[in-house]
Amino acid sequence: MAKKHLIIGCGTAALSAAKKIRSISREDKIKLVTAEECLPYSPAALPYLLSGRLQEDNLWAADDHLLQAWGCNLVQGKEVVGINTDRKKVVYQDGGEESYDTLLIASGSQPVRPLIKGLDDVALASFHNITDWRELAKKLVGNKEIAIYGGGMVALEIAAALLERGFMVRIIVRSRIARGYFAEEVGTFIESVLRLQGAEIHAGSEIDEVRIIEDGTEIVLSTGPALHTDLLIACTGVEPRIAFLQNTGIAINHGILVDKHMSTNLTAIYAAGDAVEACNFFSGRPDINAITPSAIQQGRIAGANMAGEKDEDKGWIPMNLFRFFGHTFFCIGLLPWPSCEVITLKDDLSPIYKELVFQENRLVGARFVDVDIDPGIIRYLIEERVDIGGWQEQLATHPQEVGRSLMLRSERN
Amino acid sequence: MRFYNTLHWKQHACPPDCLACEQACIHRTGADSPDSAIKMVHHPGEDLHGLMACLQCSEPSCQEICPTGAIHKDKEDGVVRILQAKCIGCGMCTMACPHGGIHISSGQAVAYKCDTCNGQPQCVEACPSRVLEFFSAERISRHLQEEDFLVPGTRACSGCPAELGLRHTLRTIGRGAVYFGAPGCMTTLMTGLGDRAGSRLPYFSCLFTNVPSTMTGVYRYYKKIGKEAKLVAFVGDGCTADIGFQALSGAAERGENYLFICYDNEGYMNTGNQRSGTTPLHAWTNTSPVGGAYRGKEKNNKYLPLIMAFHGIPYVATASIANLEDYVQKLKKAMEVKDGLAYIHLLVPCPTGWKAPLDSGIELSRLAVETNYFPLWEYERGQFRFTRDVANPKPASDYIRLIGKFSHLQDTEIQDLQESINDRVSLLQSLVKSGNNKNY
Repeated sequence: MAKKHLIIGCGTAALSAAKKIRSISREDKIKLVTAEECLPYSPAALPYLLSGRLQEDNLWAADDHLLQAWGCNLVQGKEVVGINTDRKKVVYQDGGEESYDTLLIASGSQPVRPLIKGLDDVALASFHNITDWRELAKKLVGNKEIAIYGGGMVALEIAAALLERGFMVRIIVRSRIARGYFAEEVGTFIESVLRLQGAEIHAGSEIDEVRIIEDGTEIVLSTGPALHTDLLIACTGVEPRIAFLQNTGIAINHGILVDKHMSTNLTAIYAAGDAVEACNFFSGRPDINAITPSAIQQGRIAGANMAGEKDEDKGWIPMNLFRFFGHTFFCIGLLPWPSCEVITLKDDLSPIYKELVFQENRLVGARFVDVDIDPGIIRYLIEERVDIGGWQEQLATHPQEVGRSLMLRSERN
Repeated sequence: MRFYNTLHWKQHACPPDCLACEQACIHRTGADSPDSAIKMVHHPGEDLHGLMACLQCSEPSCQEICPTGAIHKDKEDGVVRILQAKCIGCGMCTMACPHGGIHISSGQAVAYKCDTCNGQPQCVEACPSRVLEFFSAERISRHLQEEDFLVPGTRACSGCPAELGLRHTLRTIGRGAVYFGAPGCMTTLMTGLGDRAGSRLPYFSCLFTNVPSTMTGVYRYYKKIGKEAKLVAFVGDGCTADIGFQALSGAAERGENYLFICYDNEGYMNTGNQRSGTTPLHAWTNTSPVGGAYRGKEKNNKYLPLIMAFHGIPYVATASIANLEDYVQKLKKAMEVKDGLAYIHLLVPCPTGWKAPLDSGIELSRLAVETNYFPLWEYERGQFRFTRDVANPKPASDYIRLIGKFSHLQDTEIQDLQESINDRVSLLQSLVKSGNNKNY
């Protein structure tokens, strides 16, 4: 009997689930409902609109033709504000209701709004969805000076995009650049690259207060100086978009709690992507991992289970790859801890940096700056728990060649 | 079944320091990237050289992860292509691909990968050693006729390699033959249950002693009614090497024309694991126990394929279920023999009887071949040849330590097996070297 699958959201996890369901069942109905008024897209691509590298026409991850080919019905502009789990219906903001046989919550994440005195008065931009981009695009004319609050991936991508377009950029970061991803010396190197492109960086600073002034915004830093800026963009992290799940009985922590089948505590209700807390690949402990590869993996597992196949999630692995101004930064897996086996190789005269973390003959983490490697192969070695078998040193000195060789051997080629 | 064209690489014949394919790719017509999409892989200091290129996956991970949907698998030619206008050079595809098939070009910061040069791969044209080919994948799997002749369900053990071997045999030969078997593991599949046959193929269920004799009679009957019948036996080692050997030997000497395949799981497994003539030295079985007085089988096994070759029959080969293409080629050669017996010895590990994990059948088959415990060779009208290089084998212990029936082995006993392997390979090598001895 054909089931009706309802998916809240049409982003990466949602599409991944939809495609998986369709690959299993020809008859089941799939409906995606999004609060936004546009085709599906990935927020990961938005910074490239900012830099001008990508045109909005080419942003869409799926168009009507593709959605039809997948047998999916996309409903735009409807926000889900509640779920009646007894009657298996979602409730829309306009009062309407929609029934489901299985439900997938792939509502994604929203920017964390920093607590700053005076913030309510000031126009604070965030950069997480298409509306943010369109609003920002209107303001980015002339000789604007832009301040970015935050030092993570998103902050760096936006900074790079704006610098590429010739804007003056100031980055204010509470700790240091790329703290969650790389060692301090790499963070320092990234700072130097940005500075070379004309950016100003205020590390170890919090924004105490913001004030509207005559021609823009004044930012008062905890470390003293007051900066003037035309625009302030907050890149202070993302959090699951789950406010609408209150009073539904769905178990949530910071994110929606799911098991290995991406099922919530309620039958026939699944969740995947930025909105969930799923288990970490290494420790098995649940947490949020708001990156594209995890959204795809989790969406696929959720979709499979929704369609009746009991696939299990192997757990998420943190990983990030970013490239700007001719440099490449790749980090994956566990950061080194005091008693771990780690090999770090760096070159005093160049930015090249390699760090590999091992545990019981397996690679569990790696960081590379300006090194020729195949990120997917490094990921393969970690995910498949390939036995490095005594080649740890070699993998560190020749990560590309030895990585490839290990992969080919493991694949029995 | 739809087949796309595929790149095919003959690793054993590829000289390690030739980079003609890479150079051709870099300078390919219309290329706008300084990097090659096909890459030779060398592990510094190790004797491995591999080849890496996009596998044009049926469900590409790169397509799945691309945030703008810039990557698509073309349904017409199967090639996975990047739409450059949508590519933002974010590199997520490179994080997704485990095969090293897609890269970000250093110059232009966009993704690139093998696109088979639109059906005329330049690496193939440029390869001086002709180890790169581009042909329809149908060639690799065409032996698999559409139909699986066995009825649904199976009474074999979970993960049974013999079942895999039988299925591939039937799908390769198919309706072209009449089949014969004797009591054993695979009989449970072919014979069926109650009044239902186990396959949709004509099948004679013989006794242990008389498979070749029965085949001889059936052959003559068909001949009498004007048909040149093709007869194929799929029989275990107990029947082939021990109880039924005299009939087989007689049939070989008489020049009977049929294909006799022995699936060797090194024991009488269907009756609960008793030793047979092909059980190896030191192996534990229920009739070659390990204890105070005995340490497994006391004598080494009969090397049956060589014994059959010395009957001077037209074709003999060894085969493994981990080298299915090789096995299929041998089956086809064997089926073409019209003037005598063709014999194939197929190693099928028995995880149940050998006390190994039930899903280790393929791994054990691979290691058996890679350690030279079971070298792959063929004998064709007096000429011996290896069909897989026996140089640089892995140590026998790599294979032995995975198998419970060898778990009692001490170092000296492992050494015995290693020496036995070395001696057999050495003997085979001298036979290969001796050239064509079709008149011996």
